[in-house]
Amino acid sequence: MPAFTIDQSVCTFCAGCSSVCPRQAVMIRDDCAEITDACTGCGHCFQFCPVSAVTRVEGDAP
Amino acid sequence: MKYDAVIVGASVAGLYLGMRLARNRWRVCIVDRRREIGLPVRCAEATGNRAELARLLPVDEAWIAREVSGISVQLNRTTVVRRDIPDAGIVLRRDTFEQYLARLGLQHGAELRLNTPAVGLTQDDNGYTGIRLEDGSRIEASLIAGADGCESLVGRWAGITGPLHPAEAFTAAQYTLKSDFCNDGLMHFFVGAGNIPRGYIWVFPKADGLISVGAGLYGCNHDLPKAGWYLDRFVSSHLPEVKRGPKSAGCVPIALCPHALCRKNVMVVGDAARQVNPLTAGGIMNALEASLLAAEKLLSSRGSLEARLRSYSKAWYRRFRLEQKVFMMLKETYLGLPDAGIESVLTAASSAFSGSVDRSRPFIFPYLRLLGLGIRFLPHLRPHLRILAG
Ligand SMILES: Cc1cc2nc3c(=O)[nH]c(=O)nc-3n(C[C@H](O)[C@H](O)[C@H](O)COP(=O)(O)OP(=O)(O)OC[C@H]3O[C@@H](n4cnc5c(N)ncnc54)[C@H](O)[C@@H]3O)c2cc1C
Repeated sequence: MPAFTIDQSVCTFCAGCSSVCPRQAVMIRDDCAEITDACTGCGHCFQFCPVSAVTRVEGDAP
Repeated sequence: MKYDAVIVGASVAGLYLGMRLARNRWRVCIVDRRREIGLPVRCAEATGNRAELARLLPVDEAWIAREVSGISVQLNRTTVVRRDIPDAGIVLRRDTFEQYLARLGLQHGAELRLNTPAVGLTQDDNGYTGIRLEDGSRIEASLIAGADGCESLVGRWAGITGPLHPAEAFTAAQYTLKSDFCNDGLMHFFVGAGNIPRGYIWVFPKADGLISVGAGLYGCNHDLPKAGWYLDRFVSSHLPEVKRGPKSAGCVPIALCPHALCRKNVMVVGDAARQVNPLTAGGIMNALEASLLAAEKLLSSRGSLEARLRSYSKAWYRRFRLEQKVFMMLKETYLGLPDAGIESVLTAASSAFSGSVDRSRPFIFPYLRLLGLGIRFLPHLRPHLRILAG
């Protein structure tokens, strides 16, 4: 399971998270963004998102 | 059907490249995952002036929102620069601009497929043959161009670019608001720790009484809030009464261009090729200029397709690399300065460039003035001079 998730109500679908993801684990479409199982939990997307739409999945190590 | 070129990304770079190629009878297919051309707008839309744009395409009033007549820079609460610069640039109606480019491309026979994300490249023993779409279908083409923005999966699939390092990205958030605030035709920048550390806030004039207010950060830093947070703080303090619409956000690469912009029969252009000014994070003019250069090289009759792509890559490198490094150095210097240092640099720069801007004088004058400033601020620049050597 991916370590991070994207809040669709906050996300602006700008693809910034995907630009910095080293594993191409973020799938961006016109109005949906999803972190897939390829996620290794590096946290670049979380650090990066300009509107704080990426959150850590509960229970994952900080 | 096999196309001469398939272009991933129908925004400024992809549409302009597609239009130039189609105009010369290339069979071109442009795909984009967006459902509508030009929307949503994730851009402050400021770009070169009319003369600069007219070199690239016929200027149409429909896509000009506003002429920019100068610049103002405010450090915390003090205005340190305020200059009138006739013909400083224009603010586009970017959606209309992209729709205009798309129309020109279609008139010349280009094919446009929206709501069509590319999910991979296809290849055989001889090299890349085209792109793969989500439903498993393919589009075959001799040339594959990645004009797919900051994310550039095409560049990554072909091994031209890698993922952006978070330090090499400019992250930005913005609102379009109805307000008189700084709505005087100037481009207003707000800097300093009181506004936003490691970035800048902009207020640009638009048409119909609107302004674009945005905040951008150079790189992402664990310890700092996000661009959207600085934007909200700025808007709450300067425009508390104004009703806010949806916030848009985006990312611009502020890394140096890769040495090669192509591999085999795949090329990248625009943000996908990191053709951005790393200080301003502006990329529209560069995306257009690079697309023009690529089209000129591709349409020349000399050499194989791969050789023509290499010639585009080399020509861009020669033309832009030094300029990009200089702006990178200035950005690093800016990030290393405390507010007092920013103030003295801006004040000195403002007085060095005082007087009216005479565009008819040889271009060397601004560079000589810059050199003078460089010498004066050498101690600040010195730690970053290695960028020029890299
Ligand atoms: C908030 C903000 C403000 C800005 N303000 C300015 C400014 O005032 N002036 C300026 O000069 N620059 C500005 N920029 C930068 C400018 O927007 C970019 O440099 C410019 O858009 C680059 O154009 P492009 O065609 O290379 O890429 P983009 O405009 O990013 O377009 C890439 C296209 O590719 C599509 N795409 C991506 N992946 C796929 C795929 N797999 N399949 C199909 N389609 C795909 C996307 O949907 C998109 O349409 C700003 C950027 C931001 C984020």
